[in-house]
Amino acid sequence: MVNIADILIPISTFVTFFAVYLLVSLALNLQQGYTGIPNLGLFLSIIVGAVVTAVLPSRLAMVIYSVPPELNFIEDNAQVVALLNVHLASDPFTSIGLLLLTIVVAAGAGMVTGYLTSFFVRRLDETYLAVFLLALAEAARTIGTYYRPLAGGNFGISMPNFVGWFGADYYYLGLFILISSVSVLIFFLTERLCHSPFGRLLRSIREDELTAKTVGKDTNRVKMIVMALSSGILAVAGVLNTTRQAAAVIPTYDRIDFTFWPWLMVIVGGSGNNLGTLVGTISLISLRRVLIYMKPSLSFLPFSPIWFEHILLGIILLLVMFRRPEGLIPEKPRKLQGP
Amino acid sequence: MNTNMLYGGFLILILVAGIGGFFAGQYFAPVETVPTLEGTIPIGVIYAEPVEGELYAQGEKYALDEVNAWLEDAGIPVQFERWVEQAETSATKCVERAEALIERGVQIIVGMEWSSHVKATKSVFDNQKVVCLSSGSQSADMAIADDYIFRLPAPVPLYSPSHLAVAQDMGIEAAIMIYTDEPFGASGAEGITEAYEDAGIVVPYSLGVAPDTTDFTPEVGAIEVAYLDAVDTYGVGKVILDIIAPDTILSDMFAVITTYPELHTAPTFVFDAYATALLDKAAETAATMNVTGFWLKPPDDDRTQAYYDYIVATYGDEPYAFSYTAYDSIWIAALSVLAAGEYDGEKIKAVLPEVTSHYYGLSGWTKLNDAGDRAFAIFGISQVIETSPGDYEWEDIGIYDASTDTLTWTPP
Repeated sequence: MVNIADILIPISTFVTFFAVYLLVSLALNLQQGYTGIPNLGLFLSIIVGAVVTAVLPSRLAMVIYSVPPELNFIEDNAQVVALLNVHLASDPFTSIGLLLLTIVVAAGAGMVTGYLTSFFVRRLDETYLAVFLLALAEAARTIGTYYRPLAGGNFGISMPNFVGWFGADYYYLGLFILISSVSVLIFFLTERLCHSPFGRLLRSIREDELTAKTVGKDTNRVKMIVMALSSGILAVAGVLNTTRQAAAVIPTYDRIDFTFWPWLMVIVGGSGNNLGTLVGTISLISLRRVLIYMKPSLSFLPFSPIWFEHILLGIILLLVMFRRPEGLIPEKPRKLQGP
Repeated sequence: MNTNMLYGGFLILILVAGIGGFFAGQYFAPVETVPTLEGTIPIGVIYAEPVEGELYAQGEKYALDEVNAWLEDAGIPVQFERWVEQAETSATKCVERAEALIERGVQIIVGMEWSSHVKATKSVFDNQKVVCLSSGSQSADMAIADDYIFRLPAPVPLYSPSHLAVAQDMGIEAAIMIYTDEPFGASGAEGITEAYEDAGIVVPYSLGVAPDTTDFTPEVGAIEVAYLDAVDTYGVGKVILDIIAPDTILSDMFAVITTYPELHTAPTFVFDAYATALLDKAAETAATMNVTGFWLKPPDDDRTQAYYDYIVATYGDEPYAFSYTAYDSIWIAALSVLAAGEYDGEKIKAVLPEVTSHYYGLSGWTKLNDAGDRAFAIFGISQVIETSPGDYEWEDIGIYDASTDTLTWTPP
């Protein structure tokens, strides 16, 4: 008889990983693809989300379940997490409430971060802006890595299990439902936004900001809104990834995994349309997994198959850039609707 | 059909095949698992970063050859093979690689050298009931009972008695603690400070340094002031510097200490012996200050010597300190699978502690404590010595056995 967990776990681990990356790619597409804001520091807002997840729900749960005050969530992490897991496993309402609250607070914190960085978006040209946002994100990562009270510093902290009430056999089903539903919801909201008049305004700014200004559009304000919204999405991605890993390890939010890879996904899928972003994200994540699966059969290669993934992905990127720079699903030109 | 469309179609084909392959892989993946003990059984390996990973691999490959030769000689129809992955320093990639290995049927994963990677991946191991046998993680805060994480290196708290024993033997009365201000260094310094103070050795000054510091001029200036103050009270030879930091930081710090001659009278303890960068940058100063290091010592026996000779002959260098635990991890993984009688993480977890308690490997007796971490350790004590004019090397000067609290000096 087939064990349900045997089917569920691989699907859940894949889909939840994809769902987290989908949010990051969507946020980048909103910034770069639709508005032309080159953000090389996507992981800044993701870290904000991860830090909120590390700080907020566990401390609240400690108060709710009257964990002895002499226990410190960072210093006595394993002990506190074990205590909280016992309570949360039998209390779905508190678990869900804490998770939703975390998502809302993290999205808000991300939006504030995006709003504050938008001041620089207005003042710096593209190259300086990209480098500045990268530096800002690196600074946040450095603080998160070395300031232990925030999220356990270099080694990170374990998080309580907020979907433990699904039971051990259905833990991955819980993760699947939570993470994929949040991602699907944000995808459709983003899609709706991009097909609204506001979406058309974004494209007009990307194509020719001066023209948009001359017809009376406040482009700075629009960029501020885009930065706030997309940073909110990134922070939610941080929450979901932390929940998925059941650990907040800030050093993991680096520029390669949480900026360069999403850029590749958007480029391969097709910038400026969310469907392309979705296709680019799922394609690259699937391909990475397939390559990991294939490694044992690649022992004939003259180099370690560990590095084959990077080589093949590099080749695909070069092919896309040279032969199909608009991506797999190019942005469709919009027809103007007459009166 | 134009060329662009052709290439586009080709790319789409690759990507669709990738997605299809992934889900087909899920469907067919169970074939790769080995429900009974026959054929080839995979041992997953995840390295935290490439360079260090290669050094761990030396011990693993050697052990794997031994295991498979032994199984063949014994007529047991099983062979083991390593399925290697690389986390490229990223905890996110470590999680992804662990998930993929488990999806392919792997039930035990070794390597996992970094505590941050173990922490990020812990929920994957616990929830999917797959065993993680770390060859490198030492952080005190990963000591958690009844999980799927087991760790073979000496955890940080085990080092404290070794420092104390040597300090007491030398008649030390005060210690200046210097450590990298991150959990590894901080918890190490905290444990050693506690051991010193409980034994009546005063710690008048502690200094945490940022792990990414490269110029230690201000820090060394402050250390000198604290050291001279302590010397005024306790006298020369009664005050040590105890530095809990990796080799790179240690060597940068000593490059500055070289220019502070007042510090050269301070006997100094460092966390790990055989720090090679220290010898490259400040060997003479290190020898002058009798820099003493501590390391998980392999037993002096024929097996260790054979391993040492093989590594030197094959790779041209001495075995990496952690390659001994890497070697043991493969043997313990294989023996645990055989003892479990089935390639199943839950069953392997159940028998592994018993296997380790009866296993005496290249890193010594591997008995684990309740948290699944190494319970006992024999530490080698080494010092930087001028072996011939201008040549400096680490030389073994003694042994500390933590299980019996015995310090033995090697006759010169």
